[in-house]
Amino acid sequence: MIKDKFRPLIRNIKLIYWLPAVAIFTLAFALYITNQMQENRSLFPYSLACRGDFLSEAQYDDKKAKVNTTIYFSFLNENRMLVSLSGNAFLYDGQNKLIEKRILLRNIYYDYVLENKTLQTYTLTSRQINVDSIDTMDQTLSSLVLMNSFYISGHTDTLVMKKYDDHTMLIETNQSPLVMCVFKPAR
Amino acid sequence: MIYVIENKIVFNPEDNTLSLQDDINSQVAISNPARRILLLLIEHHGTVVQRDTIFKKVWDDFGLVSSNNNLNHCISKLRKVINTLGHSEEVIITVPKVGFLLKKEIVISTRESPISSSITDHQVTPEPPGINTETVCLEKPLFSSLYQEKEAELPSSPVKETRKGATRNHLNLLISIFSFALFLLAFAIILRDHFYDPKDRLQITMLGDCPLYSTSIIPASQKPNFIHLARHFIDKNKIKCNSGDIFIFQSESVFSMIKTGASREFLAQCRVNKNNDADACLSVYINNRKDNDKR
Repeated sequence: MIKDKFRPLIRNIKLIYWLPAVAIFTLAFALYITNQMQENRSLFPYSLACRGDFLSEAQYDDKKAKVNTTIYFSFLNENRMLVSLSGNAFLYDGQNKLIEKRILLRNIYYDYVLENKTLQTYTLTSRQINVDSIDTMDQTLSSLVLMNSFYISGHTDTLVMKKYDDHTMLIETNQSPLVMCVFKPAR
Repeated sequence: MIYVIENKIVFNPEDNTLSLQDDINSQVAISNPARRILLLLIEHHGTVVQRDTIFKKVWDDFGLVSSNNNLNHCISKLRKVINTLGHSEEVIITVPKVGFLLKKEIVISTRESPISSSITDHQVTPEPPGINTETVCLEKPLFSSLYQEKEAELPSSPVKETRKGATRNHLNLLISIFSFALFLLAFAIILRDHFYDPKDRLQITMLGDCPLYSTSIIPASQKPNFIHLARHFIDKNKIKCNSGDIFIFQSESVFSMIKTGASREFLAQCRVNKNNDADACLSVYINNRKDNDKR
């Protein structure tokens, strides 16, 4: 009945009077889409792995330690994370002479807690470290160039992991950025 | 043009009246919609004029609200006037659910108007004073039917109709401009978001062919120092700028006002595609603790 009452009115409203309504609807739709995209942009693509190459160097007066590694981050189910490291670590003396070389090939399984969503601050506790048979890394060299949790099971490190843009993640300590990785589809 | 119906009733569209041919005092004023309906029926004499056609040509084209009620009311009033003027036979026939027609057998003749015939459909002469002012049907302006019915009961003056038309044109123009601006805004928002690159606001400068970005916003006063540190880092570590690479740099000393015993610097060299999206990154992190060792 109400429909019958309004039908003539609707029919008689010229096209031009529909224009603002359509324009307002389009604008609202555009704002909604933009808002959705911004929200999605700030979310991690937990379904994607992140890969990067990492050269780390620690300089001291009497020695220098370096590590060249590829690093792989993968978010797992139930707030777990896998970090895979594959590379070499070097120790030099004060005269820049190589005194030690070690191989690094290990998977570290972490339990992570998102401590602050805005600051993207995570605490990561290594629960399991699977060391490959060719991995020869020792604690001394590891403590010079890597995080302790890469070597010591049960150790907790704090990292800031944030999206740098839609395709990259920046992993930082509270002091400095460490590594930039690129999101790659799992397959 | 004046129409004579059945050689008896004179229909003068120019002054919106129906009258007996031989009795000028019998003049009955009709409204503009009624006049347009009668003209339309005369134009299609003997054939059915569909309701939608009447709606369009009598109301819609003049920016007025059409409705079945209004049309039926107009037809009823026209019949009543024709009847009042002494013609008891049915002149206007209703074709249910289709429209109306002027009975084929009715004789319609025409004659030239004594006054100028250049008056357009919109320019109707005002009702002559002193005649029977029975109004045939209502004329409802768009969007104002609720509070302008009284006004619409009288036939519109030509000045009023012209003014209405001009106002309507202005309104239409404003609506078009407003709508167009909204469309533009909507598309601009969508396009901006489509091409938005979060790292654009972090670009500091170009180092050779490679853009230099920071990992966070750098105050303008710190930019020269930031660029100097980045150049020094790149030179010291013999990092080459390859075409299609970008640099992302950060140094602890940019934000720190004291020596903390460690100088941490970071540079990522990323290979980007044509959309400026990275597909591989090499990160160099140097923690210089020599200062700390010296203390």
